[in-house]
Amino acid sequence: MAVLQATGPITSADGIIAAAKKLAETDRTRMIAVAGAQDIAVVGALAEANADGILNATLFGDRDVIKELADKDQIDISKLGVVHEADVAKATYGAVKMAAEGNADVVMKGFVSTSALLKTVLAKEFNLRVKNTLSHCAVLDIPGYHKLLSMTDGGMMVKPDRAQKIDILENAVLVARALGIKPVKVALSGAVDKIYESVPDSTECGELINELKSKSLQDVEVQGPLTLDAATSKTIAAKKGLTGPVVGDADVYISDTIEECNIVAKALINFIDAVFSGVIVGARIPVSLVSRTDTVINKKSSVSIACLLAAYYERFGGGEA
Amino acid sequence: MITNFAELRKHAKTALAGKAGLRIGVILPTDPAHIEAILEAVDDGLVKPTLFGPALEINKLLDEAVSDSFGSDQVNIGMEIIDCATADNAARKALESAQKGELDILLKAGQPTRELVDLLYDKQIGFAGKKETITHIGVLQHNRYHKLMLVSDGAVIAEPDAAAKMSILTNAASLAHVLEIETPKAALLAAAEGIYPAVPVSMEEAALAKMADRGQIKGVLVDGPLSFDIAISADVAKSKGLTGSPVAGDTDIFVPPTMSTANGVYKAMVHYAGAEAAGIIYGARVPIATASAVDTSTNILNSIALSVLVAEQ
Repeated sequence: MAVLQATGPITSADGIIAAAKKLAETDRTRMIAVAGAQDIAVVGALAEANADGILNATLFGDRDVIKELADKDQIDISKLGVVHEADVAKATYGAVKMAAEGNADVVMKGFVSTSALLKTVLAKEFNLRVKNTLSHCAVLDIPGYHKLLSMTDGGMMVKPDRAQKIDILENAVLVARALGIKPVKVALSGAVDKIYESVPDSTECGELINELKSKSLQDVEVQGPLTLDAATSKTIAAKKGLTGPVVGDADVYISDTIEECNIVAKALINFIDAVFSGVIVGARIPVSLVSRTDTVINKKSSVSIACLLAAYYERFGGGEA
Repeated sequence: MITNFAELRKHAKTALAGKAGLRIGVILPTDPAHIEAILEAVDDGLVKPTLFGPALEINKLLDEAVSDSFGSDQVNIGMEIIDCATADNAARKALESAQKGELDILLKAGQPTRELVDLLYDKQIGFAGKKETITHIGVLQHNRYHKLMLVSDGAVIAEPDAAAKMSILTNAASLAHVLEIETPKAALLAAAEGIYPAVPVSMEEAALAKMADRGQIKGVLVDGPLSFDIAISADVAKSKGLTGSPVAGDTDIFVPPTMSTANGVYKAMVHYAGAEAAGIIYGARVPIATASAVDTSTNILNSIALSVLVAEQ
């Protein structure tokens, strides 16, 4: 782990992959348990990451189907463990149990719905629940931005209230810390850069910041509302006459709604090829998920960031930011 | 159908053929990009400007810009400057002047957009009443998309409810018609294409799409909820099993659920993806071209041309 700190903050998707590889080489290769592994996007990503020396994986699922899918796409799964379980719910249970017992570091979504997987992860018997809010962090490597920008939450909380937003923020801070970022600069999103009475979101943002002040999170700077450009460009911020600890240099951009995060991230992914590394945060173990439409590097950096986060939890605990 | 900004600027010139440029009031031109765009618009014969803002600063910028392009600061560019010490003062004077019919269009330059929007509804000025629906529409051109993308509303309606979204759609459709898009297609954007009772945005968008199907929202084909990638790609729609959408993959009008989302899309597209753009506040007494801090002088010129085209309809 000393090696991770020595490398300084990670600033790109390639850097995330390289750090996960280094972690495997110098510390320990992390184990991914896959819930319902009859999903070729997942198996393909894991086989490749395994061949790159990033991780090990255990596939819980229907052995015959997994083999058939892998053969069809010429994916070599001989180096991955397979635990046969045709029933998806049981396969999910097995994968989560493996992680809960300390034999896997990350649980990964395969051929199972996200909600069913998370329900299992949060089941009392596994004691993996840390806080009440699980959130999705999309850590974006955006061409033209000098560092990674973690956008959250575009996948989990439909309409986060203030307490949930604080949880989302703390979850994102954990991810940033796992990337070696200190202090973590958090921007709260807005269509405006100041509080206006005529913009209810902006006044709510002000209230959220007041509440955060009372929590005095260590090594965390928070500012908002900030538009995407003001949060990530010093030139634009200067044009707008904005100052503060976060402007132009945000590590984390907390969206107001699930739709905002999802839509804006997709604009960046589709039109400038931003690479995102996605992970679900808030439980004692990271939950990884990739989708069929993800690119190869995007899948690889997603499983890599889950490994880095798992290593961070191991060292510092996965509870509080 | 206008599919890019080069055509749009050409159309604006044609619309004015043989006539003098429109009287434009510029609110707080305090950035070289503003001045550059205005000079170019004058050069194109699109506008005759009156500049509202700090005269000293504006004159200095004008001198610099003129000597940059003509190698001399002696050229008389004949622009009227109304000296205003503050942004608020500049905006009020410009709005009052437009209200008296002295201006055909406005350009919001250096003032934060929200401050101007608040003034539009200021009772004392009385520029806009409750009955007009005013919306901001961003227009984007990117080489990965086959036509112009209209994004609304990223600046005026803070928390649009279903009724406000109908107005957002109607205004955007009306602008699309100005752009000669015969039957514009609108996507109501969400995080996913599924309609779920637990996701209020998806229910509202589905209802709006149904209303449009039944002709309650006219002049525009509407579908939603659609994720952003489905809205821009028929292949993604197909891979997600969504068939029969008349909009997916061919969207003209993108309506995100909130103002900050539309704003974020515009900024992501312009600041990061290098999209060429224009912005307009639509539906008010006069069209208001908008220049965001991320906009280049070309984008600002596009905004002016768009407003000219709207005013000439």
